Amino acid sequence: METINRHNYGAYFLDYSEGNLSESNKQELIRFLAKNPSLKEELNNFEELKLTPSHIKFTKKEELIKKTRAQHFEITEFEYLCVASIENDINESEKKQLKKELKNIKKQKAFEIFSEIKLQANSDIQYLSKDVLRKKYFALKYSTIISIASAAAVLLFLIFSRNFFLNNNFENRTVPIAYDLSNKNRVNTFLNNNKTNLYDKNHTQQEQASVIHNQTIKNSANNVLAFEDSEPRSNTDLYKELTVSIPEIKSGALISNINNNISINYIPATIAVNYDGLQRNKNDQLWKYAEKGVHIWKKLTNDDIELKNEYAENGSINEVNFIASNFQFRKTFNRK
Amino acid sequence: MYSDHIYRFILKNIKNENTAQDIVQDSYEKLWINRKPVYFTKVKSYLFTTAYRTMIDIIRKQKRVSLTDDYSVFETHEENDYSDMNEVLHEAIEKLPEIQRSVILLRDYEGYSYKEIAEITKLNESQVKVYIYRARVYLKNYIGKIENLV
Repeated sequence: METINRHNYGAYFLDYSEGNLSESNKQELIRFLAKNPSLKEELNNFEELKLTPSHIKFTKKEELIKKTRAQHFEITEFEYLCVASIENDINESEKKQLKKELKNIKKQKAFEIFSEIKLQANSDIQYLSKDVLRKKYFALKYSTIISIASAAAVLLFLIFSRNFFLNNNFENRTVPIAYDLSNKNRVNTFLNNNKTNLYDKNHTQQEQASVIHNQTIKNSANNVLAFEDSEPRSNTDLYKELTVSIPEIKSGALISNINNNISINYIPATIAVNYDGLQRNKNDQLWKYAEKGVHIWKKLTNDDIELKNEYAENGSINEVNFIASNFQFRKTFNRK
Repeated sequence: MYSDHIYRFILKNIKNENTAQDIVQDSYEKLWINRKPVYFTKVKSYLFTTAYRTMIDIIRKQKRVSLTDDYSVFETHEENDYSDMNEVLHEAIEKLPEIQRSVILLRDYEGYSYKEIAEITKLNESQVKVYIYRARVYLKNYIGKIENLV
């Protein structure tokens, strides 16, 4: 330690107040103060600054003591051993300890009671509404919402652009596209029923009369299908899916209307078939396109969506099933 | 598949058939919603976890049951003719604190490990063990008291 002087006396004062000065340094400090009495007061103040410990006590000392397991569980050591035994949570030393304890008859009795404590479920209590738990609920997860929204967009697009997809002539036609005109009575009935359709101003008389002329195509079942001349070629694919067989070919008729004077000429070679089964209305066609649209969408986006239509034998739509993830929408058409 | 188990567990805890049925339905609905991230082997645990937490939410809302450990022992049991031990035990568990009842039902009814019970109840394994041990001691003391009376 350096010799005390007016620059380092603070360190001497601090060591002195803390009792860290050696005897020789103390003597040196005394001599220094004798030479510099003005610093005595400063030393006194220094000593007064010394902090004395308060009498605050930590009152929860018992919590710092490591508890035994039984204390931690707030049960007795014997109870702990019994429960550990029936819980199969006991080690070898605990087993030995328990064995010792069980020499006492009262404790044996207590252990027997412990051994009986095993709750058993009452199998008579059953949940009877199990049907309700089957997948009734549909989850509108984000991906599902996207799928549904996408499909809805496709459907809306198809609905609002139906004029683009659907042939106007097709929409307007509600009568069968060909008729069995094999005898005169049927021709007359046909004419009476369809005058308006046949003789509208957009057609020449001869064209109107040739309504019975058909395109024909064979499907895979070797059935001959007949189509009206004006039928879009693409629609033949739809008809192919239907099993429509043409009945016996009979003589047909060429209907002429000259100056509102209707005449009928029978033409033996003309195919005249009544295949009402091929009637289709615009809704059928719309859902058919919707089905294709959703299918294309699925291919493009890999979304979990599908539109499945079910058709009746006559080609009209019976049911529409829209499936998006676990959401399913079904619409059934009731037609008479 | 597990609906009976869940129903019994919930019913034992809340004593209300309609609410128990609602909780079972709610648990299955949540399972359907989250069926993709739930492994098949974890379905039962998922259902119990969901049911338990739904039950706790309902209990808290209804403020019917306190989840603290404060309970008075042996004060209110009725003097019945007990035909078997299981009957006495089921009377006794109704007097257990909510959390102890839940863990011991999961342990005895379903045979769940401490770890599995901890996952279901959001406790740690040590807490589960403590609650089970305390519950067993409580039940033992309850039965001992009954035996003395009989």
